[in-house]
Amino acid sequence: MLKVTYDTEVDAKYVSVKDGKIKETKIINDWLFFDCDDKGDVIGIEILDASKNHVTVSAFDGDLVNVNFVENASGGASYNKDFGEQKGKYLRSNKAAVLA
Amino acid sequence: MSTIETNKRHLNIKAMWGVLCTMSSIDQKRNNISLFNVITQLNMSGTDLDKVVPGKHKGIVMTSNHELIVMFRRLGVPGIESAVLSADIKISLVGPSGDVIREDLSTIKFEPNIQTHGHRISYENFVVQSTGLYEYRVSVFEDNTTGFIDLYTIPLSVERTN
Repeated sequence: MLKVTYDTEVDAKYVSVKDGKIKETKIINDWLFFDCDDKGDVIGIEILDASKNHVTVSAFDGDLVNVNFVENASGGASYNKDFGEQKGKYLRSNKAAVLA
Repeated sequence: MSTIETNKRHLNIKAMWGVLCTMSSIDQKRNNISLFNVITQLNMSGTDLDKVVPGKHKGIVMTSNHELIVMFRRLGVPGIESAVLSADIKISLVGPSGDVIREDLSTIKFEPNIQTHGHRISYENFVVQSTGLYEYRVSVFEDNTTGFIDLYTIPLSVERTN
């Protein structure tokens, strides 16, 4: 379940995707960081300058499937990244599929 | 333009209404929104539903292009209207068993002196576990202690056709 914690003093936000132990932190850019577990799954997202940099996060069945982020909210760079290959594929599917 | 942001987010906005529909159109000039084919019920064939084995499958993904529209409004807190107001919003799809199937987290932003904010999410499909009552729960992040507070619920009934 997606949870948010917000540090108002330093304007940093953390989106917790699921429980787990951080094995590696991937630096996406100078304000966005992905914490990953030993399987490489993203378990948390840290956003610096959170009042300016907005992130849209989608999770399915407890796993991250998509992150879309906009730098400086009212403009700036925009990125899109899909995760969870199988679940993400099902969610974008245009055909009926049983999800195991 | 003021860039003051408030930390007491939940006190400053409310969800006035929300619906599911197949399509919507926003009139930029008048800032009105038109809703087409409002959805309150999905009918699933028994053949498809029977493919789902409880305990083995998490559900069945059915093509169903639909949009969720929620209209938020600032509450009348003196001094807030002229400031930028942002809030973290979560839309959760909850199945008949109470399981959270999917979640979408995003930040909405009210520009100064703008009272309402229409939030639209497009979905390409719908994950069905079984027949019953599903809910799209709209919640807003309050603070680190309380977490998300439910603001609004949009029900969707899934029925078996044969």
